[in-house]
Amino acid sequence: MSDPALKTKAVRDASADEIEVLTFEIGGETFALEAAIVREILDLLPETIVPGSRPFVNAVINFRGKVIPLADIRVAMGMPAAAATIDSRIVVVELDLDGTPSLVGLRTDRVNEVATLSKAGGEPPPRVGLRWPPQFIECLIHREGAFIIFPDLRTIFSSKGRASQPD
Amino acid sequence: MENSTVIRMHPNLCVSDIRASYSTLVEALDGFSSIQLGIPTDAIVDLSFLQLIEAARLRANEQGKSLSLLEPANGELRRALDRSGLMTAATSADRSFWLHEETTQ
Amino acid sequence: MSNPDPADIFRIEAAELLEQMEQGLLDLEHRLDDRTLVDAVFRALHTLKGSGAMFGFDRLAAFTHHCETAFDRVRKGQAEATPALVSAVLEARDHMRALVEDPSGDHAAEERYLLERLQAAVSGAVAAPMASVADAPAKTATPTAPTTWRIRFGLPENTFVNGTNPLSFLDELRAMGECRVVLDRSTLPPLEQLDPTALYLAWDVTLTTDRSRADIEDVFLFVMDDMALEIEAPSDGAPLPEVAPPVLSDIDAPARAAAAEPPPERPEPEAAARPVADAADPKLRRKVESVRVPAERLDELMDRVGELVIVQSRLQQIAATSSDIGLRTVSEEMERLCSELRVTMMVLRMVPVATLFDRYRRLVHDLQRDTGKKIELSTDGESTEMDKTVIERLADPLVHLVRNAADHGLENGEARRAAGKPEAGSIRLSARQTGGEVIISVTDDGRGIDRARVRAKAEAAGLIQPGATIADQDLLQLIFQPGFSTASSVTNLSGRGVGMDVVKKAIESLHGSIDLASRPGEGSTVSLRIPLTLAIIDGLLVRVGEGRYVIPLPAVEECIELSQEEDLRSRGRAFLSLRDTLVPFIRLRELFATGTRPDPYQKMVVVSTGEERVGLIVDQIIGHHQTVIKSMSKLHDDVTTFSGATILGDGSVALILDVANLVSLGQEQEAQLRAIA
Repeated sequence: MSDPALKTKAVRDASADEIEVLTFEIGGETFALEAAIVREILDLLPETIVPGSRPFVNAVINFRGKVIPLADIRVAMGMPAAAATIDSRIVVVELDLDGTPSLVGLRTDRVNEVATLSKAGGEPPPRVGLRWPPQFIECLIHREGAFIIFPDLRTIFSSKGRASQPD
Repeated sequence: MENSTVIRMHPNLCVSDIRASYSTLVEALDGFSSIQLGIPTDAIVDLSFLQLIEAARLRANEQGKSLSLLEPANGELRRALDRSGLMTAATSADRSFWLHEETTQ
Repeated sequence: MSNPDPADIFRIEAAELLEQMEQGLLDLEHRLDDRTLVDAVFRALHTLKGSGAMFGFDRLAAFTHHCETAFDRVRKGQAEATPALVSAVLEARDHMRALVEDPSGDHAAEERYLLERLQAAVSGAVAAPMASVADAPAKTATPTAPTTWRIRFGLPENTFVNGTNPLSFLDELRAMGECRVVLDRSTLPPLEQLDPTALYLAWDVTLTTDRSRADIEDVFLFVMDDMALEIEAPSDGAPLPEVAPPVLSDIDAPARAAAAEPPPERPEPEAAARPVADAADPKLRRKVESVRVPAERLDELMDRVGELVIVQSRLQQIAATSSDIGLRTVSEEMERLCSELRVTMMVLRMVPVATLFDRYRRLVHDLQRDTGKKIELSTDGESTEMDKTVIERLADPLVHLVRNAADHGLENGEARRAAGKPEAGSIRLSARQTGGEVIISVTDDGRGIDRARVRAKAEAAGLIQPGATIADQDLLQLIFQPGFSTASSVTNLSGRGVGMDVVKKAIESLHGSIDLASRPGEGSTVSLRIPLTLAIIDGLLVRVGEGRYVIPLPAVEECIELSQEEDLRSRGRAFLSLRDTLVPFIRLRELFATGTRPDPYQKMVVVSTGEERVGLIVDQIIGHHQTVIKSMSKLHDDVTTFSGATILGDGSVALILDVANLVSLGQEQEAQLRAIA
């Protein structure tokens, strides 16, 4: 069930530097999204495959009586497939898609925590040496010797969906 | 005209879908002289369906056709029957149709 | 969320009701025997109680109930309206306002005082039993010894459609004591006259209980005004005939006045028993008690129902594997409630088309001024109900049609006189329901459509070859072509850039169709066939591989089982021979790349969009499914095979096939295969 903390708008510092994020894991990497856009964290639900859709949004689920798309960052990033585990969760986020507020479910391997990060410590994705399409990453933030990846959901969702691997 | 048929009803036997059930039954009664109705055990049944079947029985009777249930009423159907009060003063024909009970009265 | 508090909506309604109540009571003070006023006050009390309870104003509902009971007795001739009663209820009314404004305040002392006054007024007002009312006045005190009541009732025909489950009334009666319920089937019409969504059945119930008549009546509280109900204790009159078939039938309002007097050929021992509803004033009866709710709140409610269904299906799964009888019973009960709730939800969005038609009175008034023609607008079928959203979206197309009729259809007075017609032209708006559709038509008695002018115009616009032979109906259809306008001089009314093609598009976006009939010299009729609701369609639920899909039923022509032989023969080909015609087909398993093995007997569902047909090959036809349409996300805008999605009874999502798209896909595929061959 949803944490009330997630529903309240992230309170930002006057510096607008600190942001509240939800961190989660996909394929052993840690990702983060602004907590303010997260609506709910769900256990896995029955999925309905949408034939002919882009591979990273290949299904829909019934979220509280609404039919919402289920997106897979793993597929978008071209990461190897993995089976669901008992830790797998769906993170439901609300995004503005072409001017329409839309709910989208994201498949994750595990949801970690709500944390406060400083975006000042963030850096743009390196142009080379990255396993993933750089345009899908908004920034990387160092934390405790590891990277936290901020995916650029807007770019991912507007892409053709066939993740172009950097050569 | 063909002789007999088995109609398997879909599991929504409520007012929301009763028009579909209605046309199924009317078509069957128009086309066959003997109709057996299969009603899914997990069917959702409300009074509109009982009413429809009762009207269909009358019509079958009038036209000398045979209308029967594949299986005695059970599940939701049986409960709806009991709740409706249809079985309280049931005739032997009613009991035989709905419950497949032989006449003992 | 900026939704207004439901309690605020109720407060608005309550203020109106309290106002009506006050006016009624003040008038009643001067005309104590005016039944209309008694009824008006009773209805205000009744509605206030019902809505109060619905919005959680329980205290108000409970308090109002006492006043309602008092007025109900006056209404039934069991008590008289007295100045004392009127002033007691007036004072009580002020207290009701306090309860609306401050439901949680301390009102106990005030209430006690008011109820004592009411009681005093009531006990002083008991009427001597009137000759025409043989049964005993309702006892306000609970009888100590159980009484056996005979209750006969028939419910309104629209009970199902209103989402009321008659079985729940029976359950409530059963809960009151020892109860024998006998269903009366004698009023069932022949199958071919049966409207399957209407209720014809009636009941005869024998109930032994220590509860009062008022308690029994309370079971029927919210349908009471439209039903036939008789409650009698055997001691009231003649002994009960043992197995007399119940003679009550449910009848509509106008007929009920007649039924209140027993027909001579059926002498009834309980001649004095009367329907609870007063048949004297049909106008009052017609008044519908309603609560205004913003449409989006209904959508939210619909979503909540969707959620509930999922939770219920989880519960059902848990219960199925459990040996706990209690759990299983609760789960079954939940399931029943959920399915009833869904049905109720579907009818909630319906509003009468009267709300639409009313808008055109002013329009016609203005049109008379602008055209200088005399026009009479008449309407019928205003009580036909449609989805609120559909009605909103019909408003503009109808404005255009009415304008068109006034401007192009109707002649001016002079021409009408010359043609021997009444000077005032007539425009008629009518609505009627047939099956899942409503047909709305706009009819004028004007000059009709001038075929020659249509032809000339179409030829000029290059829509048809000059001199081409074309069927009359096809010629008329040209009017719906983009850019077509028959008015040779563009007036300031029609032809302001909006043509009939725009109307047609608007209607098609509602999944409807438009027809035009016209007789030269006699007038034209434009008929719009519109599905009852946008939110719900009738669908055929099919399975392809492991997925379930919905095909809109209006598009389905037939379902055919393919023999294995036919199935094999069809491989690598684009057509199946269906009787004498060749039908292109699509194997949905291949289109959807299910990766599953086909079921041994493949089914073909033939769908069409008017002229073009295509066969869709599926693994299994599951059955009819009434479907609440959900739109697809923007992220699936690129997927054109589906027009929407729906949530099935088990909470899972099924996609709705876009027939128009599949038909054109079938045509393309056919062309490709031909090219290869």
